[in-house]
Amino acid sequence: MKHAGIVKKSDFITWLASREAVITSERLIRRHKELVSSVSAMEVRNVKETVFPGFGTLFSYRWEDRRWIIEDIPVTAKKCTVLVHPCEATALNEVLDRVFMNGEHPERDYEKLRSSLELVTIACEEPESTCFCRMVGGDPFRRVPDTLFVVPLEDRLYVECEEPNVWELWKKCVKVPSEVEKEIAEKEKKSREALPDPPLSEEVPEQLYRLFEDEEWDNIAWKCLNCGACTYLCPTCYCFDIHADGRLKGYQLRSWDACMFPRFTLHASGHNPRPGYRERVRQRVLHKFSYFPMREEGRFGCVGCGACVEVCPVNWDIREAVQRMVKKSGAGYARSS
Amino acid sequence: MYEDKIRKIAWDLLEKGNVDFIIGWEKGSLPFLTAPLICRDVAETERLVWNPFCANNLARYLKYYKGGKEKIALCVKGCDARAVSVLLREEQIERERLVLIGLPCHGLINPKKLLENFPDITPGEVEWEEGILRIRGKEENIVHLLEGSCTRCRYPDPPIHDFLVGEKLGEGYAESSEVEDMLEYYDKMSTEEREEFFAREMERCIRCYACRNACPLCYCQECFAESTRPSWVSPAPLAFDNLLFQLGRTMHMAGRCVECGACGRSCPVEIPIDILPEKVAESIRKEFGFESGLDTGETAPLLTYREDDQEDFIK
Amino acid sequence: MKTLDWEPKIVAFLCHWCSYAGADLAGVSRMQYPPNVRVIRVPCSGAINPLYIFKALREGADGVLVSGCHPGDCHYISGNYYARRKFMVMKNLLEWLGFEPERVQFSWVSASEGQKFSQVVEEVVESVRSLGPARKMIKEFSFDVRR
Ligand code: SF4
Ligand code: SF4
Ligand code: SF4
Ligand code: SF4
Ligand code: SF4
Ligand code: FES
Repeated sequence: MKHAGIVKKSDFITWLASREAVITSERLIRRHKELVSSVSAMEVRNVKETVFPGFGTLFSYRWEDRRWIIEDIPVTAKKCTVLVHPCEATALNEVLDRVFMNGEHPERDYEKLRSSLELVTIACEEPESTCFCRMVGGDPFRRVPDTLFVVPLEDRLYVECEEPNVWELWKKCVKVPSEVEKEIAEKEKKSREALPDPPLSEEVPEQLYRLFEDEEWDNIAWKCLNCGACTYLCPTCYCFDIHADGRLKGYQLRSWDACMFPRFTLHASGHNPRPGYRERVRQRVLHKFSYFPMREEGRFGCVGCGACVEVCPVNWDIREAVQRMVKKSGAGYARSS
Repeated sequence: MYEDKIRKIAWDLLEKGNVDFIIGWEKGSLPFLTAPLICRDVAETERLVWNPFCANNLARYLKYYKGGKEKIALCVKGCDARAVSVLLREEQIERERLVLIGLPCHGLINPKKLLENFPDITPGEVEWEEGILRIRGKEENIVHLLEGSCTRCRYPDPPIHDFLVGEKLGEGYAESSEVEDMLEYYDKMSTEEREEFFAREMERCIRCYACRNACPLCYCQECFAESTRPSWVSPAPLAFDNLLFQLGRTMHMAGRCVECGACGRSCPVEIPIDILPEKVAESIRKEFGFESGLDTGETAPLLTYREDDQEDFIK
Repeated sequence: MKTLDWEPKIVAFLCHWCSYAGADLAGVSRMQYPPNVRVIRVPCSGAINPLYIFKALREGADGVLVSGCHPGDCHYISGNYYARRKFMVMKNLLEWLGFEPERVQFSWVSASEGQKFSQVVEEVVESVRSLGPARKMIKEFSFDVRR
């Protein structure tokens, strides 16, 4: 059930200030400074840092009295309110959660950090030149499940959620006047139209898979530097590496890793199944646009936030790559939307 | 028009079969960006561009072709050509396999600075023709928009080239009194401020290795930073390890770095990391009178010595 | 951060032919020098990679001493001349970045200079002691970005 309401901006800010901790993403601050400027919000470059940080300790170990002593280091998680855009909320809700919390063996630390978050999704009125959420099933006004959906208006906010009881803010909300409803619908339409890339069709994952051996990958991949900028700043990339730091005493660390690095797939024998830029770039594209959706009921592993496009030192644009391959595969775009 | 000349040269080279492909820049998918382009087909040469947003040092791509047979035409700015010259000196590629399209460079524009100085500017409003920058129809001085490394440029003309498109410029912005040298800003800091600054920057580093991978002279098969036996630095982006990675890399650049700034420009979290190798390049210039990449026959300063080298720091 | 029972740990990279022999001489001649140094023998000062020094600091050394033959005496003729250039560049960089110069020190000690060796070690240990433990090198881990 959808519940909608209107709340004064000042009430929203007061509510935020009353939260234990507030986190926002860099792109949100760029666009909605006014919402968080008076709250001491922590800024993250990439929303996945809140649940899957760049590095962390798993346990400590030391050699003592001729035996190893291992001590668990559980994470401490504070309750946090996270203000993000729909793509970022989707990344947590529909990609990372599926990876780390699905099934019988949820990842302990992830689960703990994740369950301490409450997500507030701020709709995007002005998509940037790097945005392409629509292409991968998103929308600048997407109501991401289990989040509070917010559209900032002049001095009020339009708020929408499924479960009003869990949001304290709801007490301050009043009924939505019909002219506001219209305004929202217009904004929604306008914003959607600002995103030129239409949604990819359902066949894309399977069709791309067939192009595994295609030689076009060579041309697509050539300019890529094989660095970690795109994957490290991608909100859905979840690969990590585990390593011990210290010989007789130290920590077991976990840190981000990336399929773009040659060492990522290097075997102990010296053999590397992904020896060149071609294989590595193909992996990144296919993982997000083929393997992941084939396994996860069509959910693309990319949320279209454009972070990778923004940071790439050689302007390697994943939209171009995908569109080129999709065209080649003949899969095309979904008709509806 | 310079771009036309470049395309013409590229076209001829491919058409005559003198080279297998051309490496240059094309228009990027975002405003004020270009992307590296490889043209194997004459038709693709139409996409080549040349403007103050051609930030990538294309000499970086030569490592793919080490030991191969391909003949390669490469578009080179002053610093790119210096990097090629170092690669030649280090025998990473053969001169016979290269055709260098030299481009005297007026300096790169930092897109951030451009947007700061001209809010809401769109690409259509920026024109660039033969060294003259016009913004919204008005002629503007590029010096306020320069990338950090360009403020210290001493060799805007490619020291080695086979073609030269445009007039030689003679001297770079290092000579100009209008431009503040990027390093001066950091030199002016007190040691404590600098220490503090680097500590903060190193906390932000995510160890993506974009800086290393963008550098034309970091061509090692296995970088010390990723070696596991021995492991020199932790693969985790711990601040101190980040610093050690940068120190190690900077030491590997000593006497080799051509001060192109490609490393700094490639950083996704905007750490001006090129100041470290450039600082070392400066100290090598001062101590040994050596500048890298000007002459392919030179001996790198750390591969030689003088008996009377300074040693007052040694007990 | 100085604690009462803290003793500086110094890693010393000594070239096999001169400084290591010098240290040996200091030992057999029963010269006193502080026990804070951990000696690592290397073939020649020219073989010392700056990474060795960085790694030592990373693993918890409070200071590093690098020592080789006097200029002209290198067993491999010129290793120490190369080393001298390399270390000068490195030292300039480290100091510019705000590393205390005392943390990484250099000396020439010949095989017959047992006396000089013990004196150099003494100086290095005392200067590092007065700086205190290497603060910035202490690794701090935190799993939670929301700490
Ligand atoms: S696509 Fe860009 S950011 Fe990603 S690895 Fe390649 S060069 Fe780096
Ligand atoms: S991709 Fe852009 S428009 Fe779409 S949800 Fe993300 S920030 Fe908003
Ligand atoms: S490019 Fe920037 S973030 Fe990446 S490793 Fe280099 S300094 Fe660190
Ligand atoms: S270290 Fe940086 S400035 Fe120096 S050559 Fe490499 S990329 Fe250019
Ligand atoms: S940092 Fe050093 S080891 Fe790594 S690629 Fe560059 S030159 Fe090679
Ligand atoms: S052998 Fe002692 S410095 Fe070379």
